[in-house]
Amino acid sequence: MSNQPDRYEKFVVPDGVKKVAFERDTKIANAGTFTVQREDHTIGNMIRTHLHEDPHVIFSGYKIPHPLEYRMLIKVQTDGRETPVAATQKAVDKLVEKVRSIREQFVVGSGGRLRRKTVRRSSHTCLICTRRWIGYIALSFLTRRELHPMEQAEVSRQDRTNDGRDY
Amino acid sequence: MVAPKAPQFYSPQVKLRSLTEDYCEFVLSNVNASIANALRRVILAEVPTIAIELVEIESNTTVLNDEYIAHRLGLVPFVSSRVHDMKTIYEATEDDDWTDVEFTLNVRCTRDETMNVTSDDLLPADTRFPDVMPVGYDERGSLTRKHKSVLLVKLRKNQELKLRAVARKGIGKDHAKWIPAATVSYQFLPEITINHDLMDTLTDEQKQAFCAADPRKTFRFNQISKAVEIVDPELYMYDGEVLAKAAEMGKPGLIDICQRQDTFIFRVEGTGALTPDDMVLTALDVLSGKLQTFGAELDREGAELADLTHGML
Repeated sequence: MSNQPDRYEKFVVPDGVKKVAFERDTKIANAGTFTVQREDHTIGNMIRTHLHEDPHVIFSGYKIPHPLEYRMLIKVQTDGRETPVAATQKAVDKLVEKVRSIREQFVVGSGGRLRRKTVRRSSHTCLICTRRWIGYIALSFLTRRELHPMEQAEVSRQDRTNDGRDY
Repeated sequence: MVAPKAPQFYSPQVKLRSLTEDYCEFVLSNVNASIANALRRVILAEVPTIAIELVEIESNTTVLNDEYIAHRLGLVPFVSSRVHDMKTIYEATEDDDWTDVEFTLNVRCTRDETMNVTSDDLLPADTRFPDVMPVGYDERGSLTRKHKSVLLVKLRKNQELKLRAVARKGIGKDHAKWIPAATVSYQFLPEITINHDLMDTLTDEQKQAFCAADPRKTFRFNQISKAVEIVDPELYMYDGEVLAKAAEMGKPGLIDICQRQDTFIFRVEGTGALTPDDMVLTALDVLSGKLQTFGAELDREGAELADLTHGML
């Protein structure tokens, strides 16, 4: 009756297709492109900006080649002391940690102030989280890491034209 | 070498300002705009709620056609606090996964005056899930009800509407009816600096005129110290009125306004489907899940590449 594509194609990765595929650049050393299926600006822009914070990353950018093809490309070039895959992995780990921190602070901030109609998963109970949160602060205070990579970053070599938003 | 920035720049800060049943305001600081935007995008497009997905019409003699009614039913917000126990039809793998909640609607107008068919007429066909219902349904019949029911169609005498509807879990990316929020926005915190040396060259009347130029009254003329003060930088709406006034007075550079790129004032308004804190927390879970999936896939891809290079050597 109609050739309208199924709506689920926007977020269901088809069978036999890799969620993330890496392809090495044929001309530039230490560079390559990740093809990420069923992802968009949400993840792409975050990873791109966090790759910029890595001093070993020379270039990183992302694009969505076509609005009706639900895939996103991330291009990464490093200085050779770190592989593009490792650099991206580091950026993702950093992001996971940030999201976790935001979540915990939000739980602490909102805990008990609004009575939920039904109790959700137990991970939301504020008492446990508060305790975990305090433990985390103590832990991060005791094991203060070395300077953050961004503090040593060479800004001039990186693509910083975009202000971090996508349009 | 770039001068090192303060270390706290790298740890996100969240400060909750207000939280009610359907509104939430918080300040997210020390993060990149990309994270703020990702959070906004996830709340809008990827936080699951419950909405009517399938409608089977048995009889419809109303003025609206079947598709129109099905569409209107889809847009009715449902209390979705139980959505986390449900599965979408794409996620469901087991036979006992909970995917559907059924409703029936059977109304016939028998009186002379016009009759309203509302979301309150949707009756649960399944007694197992009593807390899945249209917003405001649990208080129907109450004289002090907070929420009005959603009008679906009006009936004339002898018109009838009889249907069966199935509500399912879904996300805003699939269809806008599943968006949990009415609006989600973030505002950059304005950073206003007054050039006091230049300001002192103005007369008191000019200073007052300057303060009056801003429609939101961001600035105040202090009668005692005769100085221009900032009431609250957040009041400023980036309308440029004061900048135009400064230029008109022949004093450009009187004030400097820029946006802080690391502080965001988030405002989340709900539809009643989910509480705003539930929305934000679920969004953060979804975001973290997306990143972790990406990370795991990256690991697998990295290992595969390593095997490949090893094999070639």
